[in-house]
Amino acid sequence: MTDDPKTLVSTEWLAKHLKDPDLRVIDASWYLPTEERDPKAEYDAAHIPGARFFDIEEISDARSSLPHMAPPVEKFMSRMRAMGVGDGHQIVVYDGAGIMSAPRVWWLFKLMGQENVAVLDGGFPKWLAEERPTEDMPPIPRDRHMTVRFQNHLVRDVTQVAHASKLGSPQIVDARAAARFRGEAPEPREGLRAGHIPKSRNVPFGTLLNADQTMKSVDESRAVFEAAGVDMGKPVITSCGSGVTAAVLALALERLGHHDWALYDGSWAEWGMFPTVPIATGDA
Amino acid sequence: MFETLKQQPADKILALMQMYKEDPRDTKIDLGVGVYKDATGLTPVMRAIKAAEHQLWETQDSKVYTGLAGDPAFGDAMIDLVLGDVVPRANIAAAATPGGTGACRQAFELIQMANPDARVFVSNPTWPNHISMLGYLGVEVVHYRYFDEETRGVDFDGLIADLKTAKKGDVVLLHGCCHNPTGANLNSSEWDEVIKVLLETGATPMIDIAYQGFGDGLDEDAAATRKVVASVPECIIAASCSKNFGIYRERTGLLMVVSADSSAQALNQGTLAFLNRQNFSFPPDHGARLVTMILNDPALRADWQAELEEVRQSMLGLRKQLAAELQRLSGSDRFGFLAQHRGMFSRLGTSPEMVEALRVEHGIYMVGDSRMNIAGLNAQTVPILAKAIVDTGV
Repeated sequence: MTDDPKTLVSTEWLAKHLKDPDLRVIDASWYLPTEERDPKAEYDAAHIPGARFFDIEEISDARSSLPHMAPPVEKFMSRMRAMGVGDGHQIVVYDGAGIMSAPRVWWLFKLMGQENVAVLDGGFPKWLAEERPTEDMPPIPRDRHMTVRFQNHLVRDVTQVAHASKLGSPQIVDARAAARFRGEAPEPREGLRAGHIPKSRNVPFGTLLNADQTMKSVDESRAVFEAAGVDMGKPVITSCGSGVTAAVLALALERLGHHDWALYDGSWAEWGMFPTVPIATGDA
Repeated sequence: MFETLKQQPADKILALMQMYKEDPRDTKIDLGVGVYKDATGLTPVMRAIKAAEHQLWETQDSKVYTGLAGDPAFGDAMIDLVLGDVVPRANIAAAATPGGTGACRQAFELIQMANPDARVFVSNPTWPNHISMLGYLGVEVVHYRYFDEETRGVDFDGLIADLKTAKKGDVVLLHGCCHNPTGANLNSSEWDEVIKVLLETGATPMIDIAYQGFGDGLDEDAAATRKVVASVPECIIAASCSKNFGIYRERTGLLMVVSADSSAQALNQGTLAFLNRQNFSFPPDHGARLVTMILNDPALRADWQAELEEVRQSMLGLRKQLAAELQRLSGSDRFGFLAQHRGMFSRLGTSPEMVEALRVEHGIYMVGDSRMNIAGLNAQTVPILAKAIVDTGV
């Protein structure tokens, strides 16, 4: 793969730059409740040297009833300042699954106007497999100011998605597993209907990854989207269960040069409980 | 002994109110005092306040003292309203005060106590009582450029240049929203620049937020305050409930001091309680209790927000109507700033002679610096005011 500090970097790249004074590493691990993993406890036990823990549940919009929605700008600024992450930093985000929740935090930084943010390809599992160094002490952060410019074009709400669903453009692409997309497997959150947003296409995020949890090449990724029936001539809205793995699709799209994408933050957690919006079941 | 006292300067606004009362003209318009008035010229008690008072009358079983810093529940509710969850609650010291004025006064005393050499930077112009209280306490005041007489917007370059002369140990007093008396406000990226200067100089910001909900909405009006608090290690915030809850005479306000960590918070909290003790022991409770009840009860809160939104929309409507009427009569866009301004006030930006002429010839009462209370208008009086402004040659 080609290292790109704005999208995806390899473990070799990170190892080489780990001591750069303006590099900030972030552990953005997050798991579904059913996985019974405690990301903070795992971070406390071992993380990439210097990494800060980014709590996706805490750094969110506390006033929303939906799970971990993007936080207000000011809250994001405040939390980043406390973490010592700010202007002039190159940020690298990883997670403990390989590539699962790290792209969500990559997206949050993009949403807040930060450009120099990359996901670590293969994440912590690959880092560990290569026997690279870890530590169990959190860094001592020094305050750093972050100038935030909210990028409206990178996020979509239910009204905009309903519009897209009706018109068939932008193309909605859903990152959930095929059985959930078809409405055959139960939703992990209670009270949600089963199925998908009408006229959406299904690209389960795992289909964009290799066996070692690294991202497939640009050409392979493009083929995955096309095979799922995604019209790559259209802008894309990515969606999933709660707006986490939708960011894996966004990252893949960004890498293959399809820059006209946005993420549906409410995702199925919102669409699935809205009685007024239609749902479809079965294949796309 | 009292023969040594000197005559204190009369409050110009209150004198103006008296003249208005004595004016026999039925086309007279009062744009003076800073109180919200509805289309009929009244300042009603908000519905949610009435409902909360009724509930309180039925359930309150004691009037015994609260804490020196007021009821902590009031602090929690107001911190949530003003700051959201931008900073951890454990980092915020808070004390109830007699109105926003009380919050400012206590803040100034706190500043003086922490650094007797502190200078306080205030916008030119600012709410006159800021300067008056600072002068009374003997705190050095530095004026930073703010209002651009030409554009009636913010002289941003002047503001930045002046704020850069602040240093660590100084305090920069900013209006969180709805600048009083001008109505001209910083936009979001200008706030970013101000924050950069604060971080460069190390000066401590103090934000006076007295009109939350009167400008662009409750969260929108608090956004600048939250952004500053999110970006700096220490910050003082003086909040008032007088206008947005319409409880002027209940004297309800909150002083907040945000610190970088919770150990500094304990010291700040103790100091705020001490300062309250020296000046009045316990802050007024009635208004604070009503506010707490409203903010914590979803139904009351929804009703309050709805009524506040009506108030906001009505002022916005009057601004647009006045700007449009002035454009029609004058044939120029030079009054467009009235629709851009936010909050209860706009500074017309004209000379004291013109203000005098408006009063004598047209029965239009505004403060000598040409501050107009937009809420003093209604749909019928807007054309009268517009005609008077154009006829007078403003």
